[in-house]
Amino acid sequence: MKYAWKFLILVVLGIGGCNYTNLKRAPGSENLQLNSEPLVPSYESINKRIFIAACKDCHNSGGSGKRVLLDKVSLLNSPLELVIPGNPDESGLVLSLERNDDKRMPPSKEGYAPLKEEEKAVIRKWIENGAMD
Amino acid sequence: MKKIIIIVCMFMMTVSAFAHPEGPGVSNAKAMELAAHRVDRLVTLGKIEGSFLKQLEKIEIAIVQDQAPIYYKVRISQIPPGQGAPMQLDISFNEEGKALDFQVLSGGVGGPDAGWTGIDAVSLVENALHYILENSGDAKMIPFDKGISSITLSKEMLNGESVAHTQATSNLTSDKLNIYLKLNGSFISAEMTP
Repeated sequence: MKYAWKFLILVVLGIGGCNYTNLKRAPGSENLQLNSEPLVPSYESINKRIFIAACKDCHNSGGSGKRVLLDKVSLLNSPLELVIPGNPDESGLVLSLERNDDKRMPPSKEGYAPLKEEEKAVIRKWIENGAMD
Repeated sequence: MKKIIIIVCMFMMTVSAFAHPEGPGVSNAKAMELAAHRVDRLVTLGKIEGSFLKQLEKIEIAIVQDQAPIYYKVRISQIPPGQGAPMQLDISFNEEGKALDFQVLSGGVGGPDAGWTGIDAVSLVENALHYILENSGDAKMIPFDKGISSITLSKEMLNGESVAHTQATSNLTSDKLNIYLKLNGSFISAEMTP
């Protein structure tokens, strides 16, 4: 009987875990807790910790955000000037993350929360440093 | 070794010579869409008035000659006032669609409020341009992707509903492309008219 209760608890936790992964991710938030690697101002870190987790569901070659891809080459070469090395204030990526209207990314109208301040700050820092790494 | 270097150089020269065999890196419609994005960017940065987002009525595009690196000139016009010239903005792009410069034309006067209640006027036009770009493989759409010369936005009634109507003209056909959108920007229908 004692083992049956333990089994039941494990099953409930397992189901809970499955539901958790099916939830629409609140951008960035869980990842900071689940990933022990620090978020640093490099493309690799930003891509792994922010873009893949919060953006690439839509911003991929077949997604609704296909016009704005977030690989490093696209960010640096897009005519939309998504990343202007050394100039985060005028970089489209920063502007879209920091704006407060209905064009903010990730989009609030689709239930996404904004990125955390520390995540936005790291992206800013990466661009400020020249977006080299 | 020398031969190999010469062959590699010749190959690279051949590749670069055919880098743009079909003209510019972006089509007219893509350059126009980039112009719409640029308006939003310039407003966000406080470099032009916010009225360009809400009061936009028309975007025109022309390919310019002998002004390299400028390839496209795009003129954005607001709704005309009762008297005088409308507020207008010119943006120039290179052939890859990179914005090079912008200038608000002097003497323009703000017009009446269009009263867009969903998304702003620039986003409506942008969505209409997305329709053209997404269907650019369709033979009927090619003249508008490659040769669009203007797109005009107006509010109309369609089946008892207030909608956004964009009408595109092209240098490559006398037909006009009419795209109807809901006020939130979602697509309703499109048709060609002579």
